[in-house]
Amino acid sequence: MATRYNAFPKGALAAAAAVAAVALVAGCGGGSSGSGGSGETIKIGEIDSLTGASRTYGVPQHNGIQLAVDEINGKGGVTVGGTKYQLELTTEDDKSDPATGVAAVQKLLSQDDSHFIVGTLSSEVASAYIPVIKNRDDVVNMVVGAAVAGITDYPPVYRPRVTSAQYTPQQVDFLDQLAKQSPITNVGIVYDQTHSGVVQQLPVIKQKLADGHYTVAAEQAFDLSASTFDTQIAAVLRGGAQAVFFQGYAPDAATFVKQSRAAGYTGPIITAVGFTSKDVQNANVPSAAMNGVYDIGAPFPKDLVALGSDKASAAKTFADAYQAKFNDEPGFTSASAYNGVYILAKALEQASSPKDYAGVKKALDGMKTTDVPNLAESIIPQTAGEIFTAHQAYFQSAVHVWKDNTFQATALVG
Amino acid sequence: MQELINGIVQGSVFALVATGLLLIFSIVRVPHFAHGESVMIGGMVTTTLVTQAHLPLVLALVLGAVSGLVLGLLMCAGLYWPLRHYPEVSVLAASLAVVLLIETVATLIWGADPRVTPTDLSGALPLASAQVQWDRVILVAAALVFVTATWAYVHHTPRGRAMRAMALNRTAALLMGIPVRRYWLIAFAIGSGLAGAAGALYSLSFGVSATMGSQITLNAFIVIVFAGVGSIFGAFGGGLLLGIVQSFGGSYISAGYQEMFGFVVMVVILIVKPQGLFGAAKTA
Amino acid sequence: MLPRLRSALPWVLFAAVIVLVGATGGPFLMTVGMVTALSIILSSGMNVAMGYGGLLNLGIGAFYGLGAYGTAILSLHFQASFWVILVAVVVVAAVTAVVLGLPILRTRGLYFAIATLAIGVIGTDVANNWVEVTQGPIGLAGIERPDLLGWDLSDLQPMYFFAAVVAFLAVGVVAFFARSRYGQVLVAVREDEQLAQSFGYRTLAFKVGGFALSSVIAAVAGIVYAYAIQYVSPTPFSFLTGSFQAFVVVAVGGGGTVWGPVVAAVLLVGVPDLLDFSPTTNQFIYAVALLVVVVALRGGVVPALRRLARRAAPPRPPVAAGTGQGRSREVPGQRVPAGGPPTA
Repeated sequence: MATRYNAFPKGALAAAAAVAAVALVAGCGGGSSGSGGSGETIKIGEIDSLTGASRTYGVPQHNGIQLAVDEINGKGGVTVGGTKYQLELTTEDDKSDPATGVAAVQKLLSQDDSHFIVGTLSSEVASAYIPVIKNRDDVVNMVVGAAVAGITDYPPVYRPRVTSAQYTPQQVDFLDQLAKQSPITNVGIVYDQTHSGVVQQLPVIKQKLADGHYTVAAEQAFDLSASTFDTQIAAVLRGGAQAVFFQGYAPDAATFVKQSRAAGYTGPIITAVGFTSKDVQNANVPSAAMNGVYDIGAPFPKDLVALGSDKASAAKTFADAYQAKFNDEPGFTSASAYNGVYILAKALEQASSPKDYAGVKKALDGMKTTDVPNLAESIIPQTAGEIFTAHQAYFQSAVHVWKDNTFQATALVG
Repeated sequence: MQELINGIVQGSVFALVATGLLLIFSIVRVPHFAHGESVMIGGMVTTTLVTQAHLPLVLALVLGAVSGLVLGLLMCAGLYWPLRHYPEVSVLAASLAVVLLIETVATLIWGADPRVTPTDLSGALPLASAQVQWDRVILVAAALVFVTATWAYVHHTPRGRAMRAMALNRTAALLMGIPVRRYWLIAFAIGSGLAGAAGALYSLSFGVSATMGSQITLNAFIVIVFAGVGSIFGAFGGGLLLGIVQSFGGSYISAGYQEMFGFVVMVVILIVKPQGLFGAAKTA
Repeated sequence: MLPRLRSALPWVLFAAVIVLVGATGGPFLMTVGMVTALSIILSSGMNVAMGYGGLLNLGIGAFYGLGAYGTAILSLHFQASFWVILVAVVVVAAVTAVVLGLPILRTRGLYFAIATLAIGVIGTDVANNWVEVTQGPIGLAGIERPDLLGWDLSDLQPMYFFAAVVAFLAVGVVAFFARSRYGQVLVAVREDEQLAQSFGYRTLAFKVGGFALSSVIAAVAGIVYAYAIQYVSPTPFSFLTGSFQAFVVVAVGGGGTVWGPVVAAVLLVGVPDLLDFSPTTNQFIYAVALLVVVVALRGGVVPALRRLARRAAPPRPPVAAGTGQGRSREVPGQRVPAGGPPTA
C-alpha cells in the first residue's frame, strides 16, 4: 500500500532542505542577540502600526516619537547615573495585526534587547502583546496610542495619552448646553464598529444619555473608511434625531457631515475625533454644511497657542519642529507620542542606571507635569501635580467650533 | 422611500461595475479580482485632476474613466494574456498580488483617507417623500445609459455577436478564426472602462480611497453570482437588488451587518437556483 | 528500501527544524516559529479543500475564528480544559461545515468560492457586532494557556513546541488523507466529477467530507492561535488576513502537495518576520515577490522543485496507477473549474 506511489519525490526533499536551511540561517540570527544596552546608548524600542488598517494614525505617531528621540540626542542625550547616553530607536511595524505585534515585541525584548517600549496605536495589538510583558519587571511600556481600557492595570504599562473614556462625559455635558438653547430630547448615535475605544464607550454614552432623559433615535454602526453613510443617515432621519453623536475617526466624520447635510439633516453633530480642516477638504464638505459641527477632544498645538494656554510656547515649538522635519502638520497622535518619549527620558535620568527599571517606574509614578517643561499637550496635573494617576494621564479637552472656514477652539475644559 | 432611493443609487454603481466584470468574465474567463482597482483609479484620478490640476469636471470624469480603462488593458496585456495557459488558481493568486501592489502604490500616492470630488452641483430632485441629490441622479442616469449602450454593442454589432459566440463556445469560436487576443482586449477595454466610469461618477457623491477596490470587486462578484452569468440586464438587476437589500437591511435591522445581508440573499438564491437568478436553466 | 527512506526524510527534516528552533532559538525566533506553525496548520486545512478537492474555500477564516473564539469563550467563561475545548470545537466546526457545505457544495468553481467568501464575511460581521459575546473590536483578552496532562504550556518554549507539534500533526493528517482512498476519490472528483459519478461514487458526500476536514483543521489552528496569542479579536480571521493569506500560501507552495503549504508558510510568514525591511517597502516587496513566484513557478514552489529535480534525475519507471483516476505522481497544478453557464 505504502509503496504504490511515491509520495515524496526529490522535489519535496529539496523543498524540505530549503526550509531547513532558512530556519538554520534564521536560527543563527536569533542566537546572536545579547549584549546591547551597555556602553553609550540606551535602546528604545518602538512598536507601531505603520502599515495595515491603523497606519493613518500610526505614521504620525511614529513621526512624533522619531522627532523627540532626535531632539534629545541632538541636545546630547540623557544622563543616567552620571553617564551620558544617546537614545537608540528601533522601530518595529506591527502591521495592525495582533500576532505580528506579539512577534515584534518579542523581537524588541530578546533580539534587540530593548526594554523600554513606546507604542502602539492599535488597541488589538496592545491587547495581544500585554500577556508577553505583563509579569516582567524589566520592561517599561509607554502606550501613546491604544485607547483600550484596562491595560494600565499592569505594572509595566504607562499611558500618557487621552482615552475616549475621558471625553465621552464631556460630549454629553456639551449636549446639555446645546439643549438649553433649543430643546433636544432625541439623539442619534453613529459609531465605528471596528474601533475598540468607541465600542467600549458605547454603553457609557447610552447610560449618560438615559440619565439625562434623552432618548436614542437610532444607533447605527459603520466600518472604518466607509464611503457612504446613506443607510445610517436614513435611520437617523427616520428616528427624528435632533442631535447626532458621531463616534469614529475624522475622515469618516467629514464624509458623514457632508452626506447627512445633503440628505437634509440640519441638527448639531457632536464628534470627538480631532477634526481638522484637511479632513473637511478631503471630503469636500461645503463650509456651510460644517455649521453645527462640534468637535470635543484633545487640543491641537495651534489651539493651545490660540487659547493662550501655559503650554502654548512648548506646543508651538513642537509643531514648528514637526513641520520642519516632516513637512506636514502634526497629526492627531503626534504630540502624545512626542511627550511619551520626553517623559520616559526624564524618568531615565532619575534612575541609577539604564537597567534600573524599578527606578524608572518609581520616577514615572512621582513625575510632575512641571518636571517636563516641553510637553506639547495640556496634561491635567493629578495629586501633588503628578502626570499619572494609576499609570494613566488625563488631558484637558477643547470644544472646536466651525467658524470662518476652519475649526476654532473655544475653551479648554476638564 | 429614502431607503429605496439609497439602494438604487448604490445599486447602480454595483450594476455598472458588475456589468463590466461580467463582460470580462464571460469572454475571458479569468477571475479578475483586480477589477475594483479600475474603479479606484477612476475615482482617485478624477478627484486629483479636479483638485490639483483644476481641470473642468467633465474632462476629469472622462480622463478618470479612461485611466480605469488603461489599467484594465495593461492588466490584460501584461498579466492575463501571458498567463492564459496557467492554472486558474495561479491566475487568481497573480491578480490578488496585483491588487496588493496597486493598493500599496495608491496609498503611497494618495494616502489612506477617503476623498470626494468637489462639484458645483447642489440641490436635489424631490421624489415623493424623499429627495435625490443631483449628483446621484446623474450617477443613476449614467449607469443606465452605459449599461444600455453595452447591451446594444454586444447584441447589435458584428463584434458583439462574435463576443457572444466566444462566451458560448470558445473552441468553436477559435475554430471559426475569431482573433481571440483582440477580443480579450475589447472585453477588457469595455469592462474596465465601465469600472473607471463608475469610479469617476462615484467620487462625485461618495468617498473614494486607495483601498476601496477589493470591497467593490467582492460586491461585483456577488452580483454576478446571484444574477447568474446570464445577461447584461441580469447583472444590472442584480446590482440594483444588492444595493436595495443592503440599504433596507442596514437601515432597518443593523448597519453593522450591512455587508452580510447581500451575502445571505446570495447564498439563499444559490441554494434555490444554483445557476443564479437570471441565469440560463442548464448548467455547464 | 530507498523510496521508503526518501519518503521519511522530509518528516525527519521537519521534526529536526522544529526541535532545533525550540532548543536553540531565542524568544523571538520561537514566536516567529509559533506564528509560522499557525500558518502551516491553517494552510494545510486550506490545502485539503483547495489543493486536493479543487474547492476554493475563501471562508476558511471564519472556521479559524470559530476555533479561536470558541477557545476564548469556553476557557474564559467556563474554565473548560483543553480536551473539552478540542472536542467541542472540532464537533461544532464539523457540524457547521457539513450543514453549510451540503447546500453550497451544489455550486462549483467561482460560485463556490464566492459562497464561501460569504461565510467569511458573515463570520467577521458577527465577531465585530455580537459585542455581548465577542466583545467586538475590543476582543477577548486574558486567555490562560492550558496544562496538558502535566505539560504546562504557560511559558513560550512549551507553547512553541505545542504549536509546532500540532502543525506536524496537521501535515501528517493531510499526508494520510492524500494517500487514503477517500482523498484519492476526492482528487478524482476534482479532475472530473462526472467521471467519478459514473464510477458510482456519491461525489457530493466526498466533497462535503473534504470541506469538513478542511474546516476542522482550520478550527484547530484557531485553538492554537487563542492559546499562543492569548487574545482574540476580529481582524486576524477576516478575509484579507485569514482566508486570503491561507490561499496565497497554498497557491505559492503548490496546492495538492503535502509540503507546498509548509514551504510557502516558512517563505511567506516566517522569513519576512526575520528580515528587516522598512515597513513601506515590505508590502511592496511582498506583492512583487508573490507575483514573481506565481508567474515564474507555475503551479507553486514544490511542483516547480519537482520538475527541476526530475530534469536532473534520470527517468524512473512509471508507478502503477491506483484507483484514484487523477492521482498521478505529479499533480499538474490544481485546477478550479471555471463553472457556471456561459453568457446567453
